[in-house]
Amino acid sequence: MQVTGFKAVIIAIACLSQCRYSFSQSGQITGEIQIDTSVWTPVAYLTIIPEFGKMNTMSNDMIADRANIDNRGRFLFDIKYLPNEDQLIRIHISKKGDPAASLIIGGKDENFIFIVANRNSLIRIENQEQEPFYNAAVSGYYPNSEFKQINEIANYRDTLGSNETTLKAELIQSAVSEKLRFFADTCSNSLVSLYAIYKSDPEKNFPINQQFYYNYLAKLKNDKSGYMQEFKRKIPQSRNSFLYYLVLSGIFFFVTGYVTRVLLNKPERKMQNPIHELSLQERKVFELVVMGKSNKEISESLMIGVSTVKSHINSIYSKLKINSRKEAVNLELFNKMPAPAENTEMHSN
Amino acid sequence: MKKTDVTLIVAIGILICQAPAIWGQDITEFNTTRMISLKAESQEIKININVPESYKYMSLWIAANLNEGDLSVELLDPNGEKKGDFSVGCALSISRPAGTDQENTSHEVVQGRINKSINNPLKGTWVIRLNPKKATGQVQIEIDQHLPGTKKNDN
Repeated sequence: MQVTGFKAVIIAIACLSQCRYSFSQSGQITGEIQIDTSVWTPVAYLTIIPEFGKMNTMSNDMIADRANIDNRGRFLFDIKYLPNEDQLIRIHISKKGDPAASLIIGGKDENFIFIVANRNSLIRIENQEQEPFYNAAVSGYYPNSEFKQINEIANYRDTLGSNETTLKAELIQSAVSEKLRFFADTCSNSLVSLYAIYKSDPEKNFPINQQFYYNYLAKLKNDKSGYMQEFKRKIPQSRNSFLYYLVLSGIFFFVTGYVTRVLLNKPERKMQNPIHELSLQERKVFELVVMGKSNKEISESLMIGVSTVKSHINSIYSKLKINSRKEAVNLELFNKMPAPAENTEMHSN
Repeated sequence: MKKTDVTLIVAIGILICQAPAIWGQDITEFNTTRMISLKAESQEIKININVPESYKYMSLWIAANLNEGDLSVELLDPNGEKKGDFSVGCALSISRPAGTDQENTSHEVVQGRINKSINNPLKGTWVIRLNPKKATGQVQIEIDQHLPGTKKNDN
């Protein structure tokens, strides 16, 4: 009986430890920050940032959660409501007398910090100075150290002053962008990678690094996050779409060109060869005139009266705007009259 | 008169002559403050800041308190590159009870501030661009510019 009881105790301890493990899997953001409570309201706010372009945007409806800061500067956010995928989170506090939705950018009074987290992340924020988040350390989830590195690389661009020559400034900016692209390409966390891309200024660098950005898009094609959609909006249409439009416009211009050519050539052919204006009988008469036959010979050859031949010749002169047989011969030299099929048949008969 | 006395008098004289130049260099500082009130404003507002070549330091402080609508604030350098920005927005609108001019007592306030310190700012026209959308509130801008010989390190 005692052995059975001992076994039950062991099993219960094992179950409890398992439960503790399960609880520790739900995410938390804990903080221990030193703040001057005569300046700052002891409340921390959590905001989910859906796109990198909204990192400096503040409104009350963006604030998702709040946590009181105790007299030792500790606060806790239970983040099990977050999705499994990483999200960009902003934690901020407000000065006394300021509204909750208050953002201070720059300087030692900067009142916020960005962190990367998902529903399972266990993150700790600590600062060593009285400034709320100035030089604060984030630990517990590895993408946050990479996130910080990206900011350090990108901030190097902002240190450029007017003292630098244009060429040097361009070289430094280019080097920073290249380093960020390399970072993005080699980073295993997709959100951090996309942040590096965002900071690399893709709109400006796309024309000279198209191949890289298209390859990058292909690599993260399964990423459906808002951060990815934001990146897609920043660069021109993907190469497939570009090729599609290129082929489509090629077909359009080919068809338009062909139709235009056909329409233009049709009247042109008529104008270039006025002999087409003649009737079949007139063409036969014209051919014989060009061969040097007299009216009588033409009459005999075509078995028509001489007066009819004269009538045809007058009509031919009128249509071809000529006045003599010599001019008819000259015209024939320029425009070789096609032999009518009926004429050939007649000769064969 | 002793030789040392003469040297001392000459040294004091040189210092007196140099003093205005030395002190004058350190105190040359220009502060400008501007307050802009917005009332259901939707027109873009641009504030130009002229920076001559001689300026070695400039700090900007822009604060926006918004009661209604949306407002985005951007700081652009003379090349048109964005050097800082923030946006604030109100979800609620100020409702006025029918037949009165009184505002509803419960209204929202959203605040955004940016501090920007720039050493050796680019010569030319810097622009603060305000893009309001039916925005009601106030924007305060403080500009602090320094001539050579003065420098702050709170970048």
